[in-house]
Amino acid sequence: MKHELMEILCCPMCKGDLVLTVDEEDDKEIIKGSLFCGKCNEHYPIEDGIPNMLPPDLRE
Amino acid sequence: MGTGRFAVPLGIRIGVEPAKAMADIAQKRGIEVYKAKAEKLPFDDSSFDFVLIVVTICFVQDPIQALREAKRVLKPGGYLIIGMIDKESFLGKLYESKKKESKFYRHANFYSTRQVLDWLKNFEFEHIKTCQTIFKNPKKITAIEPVKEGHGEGGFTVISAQK
Repeated sequence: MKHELMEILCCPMCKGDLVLTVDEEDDKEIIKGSLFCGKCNEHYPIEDGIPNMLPPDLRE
Repeated sequence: MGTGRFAVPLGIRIGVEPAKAMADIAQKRGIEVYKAKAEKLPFDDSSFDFVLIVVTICFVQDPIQALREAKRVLKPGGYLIIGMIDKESFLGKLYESKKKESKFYRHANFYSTRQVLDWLKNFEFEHIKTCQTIFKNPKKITAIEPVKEGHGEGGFTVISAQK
């Protein structure tokens, strides 16, 4: 996931802003981390560069 | 977006795909991909100039909610482009009859172009236009099929609608 996409990214449920935590990144993108919605109290993990923005009940 | 097979040649840079295996392929093809559903997009209002929904409306659980979300994330004046198999066409009937044999299409719910146009009108999209292609059984196609304005003859319809 690229940093600049934070501008348009929101919580899939409440559409509110997200707080990004980066655990691992290279010169192009975020590889591992998480996105947190304070309003829903929900974490969306970023794994292998792909943010998992599925609501919790729909995750694999 | 599946694996990005249509997105890449069409120049689409950002997409959503709920299945990890497909999302991984789309990512390798260079798409900025998010695991998400069309009915619950993780994007702010008025973020995109174009939204493409190609051979997807038949696979979403709630097509009306997917269209509502597509409209929400479009900028004012932005375009929604839908590519779909028309249920009422010969191709729609062919897919419908063979659906049970297919790993993918057994989960499909095909819709008619008329139905999707009604939904778009209800969402107050403007300047709605259609064009169509695939006029014969895909097994008998040997060259690129022509594209005609309108819908009702071709098996595949493309709809353009402005927010």
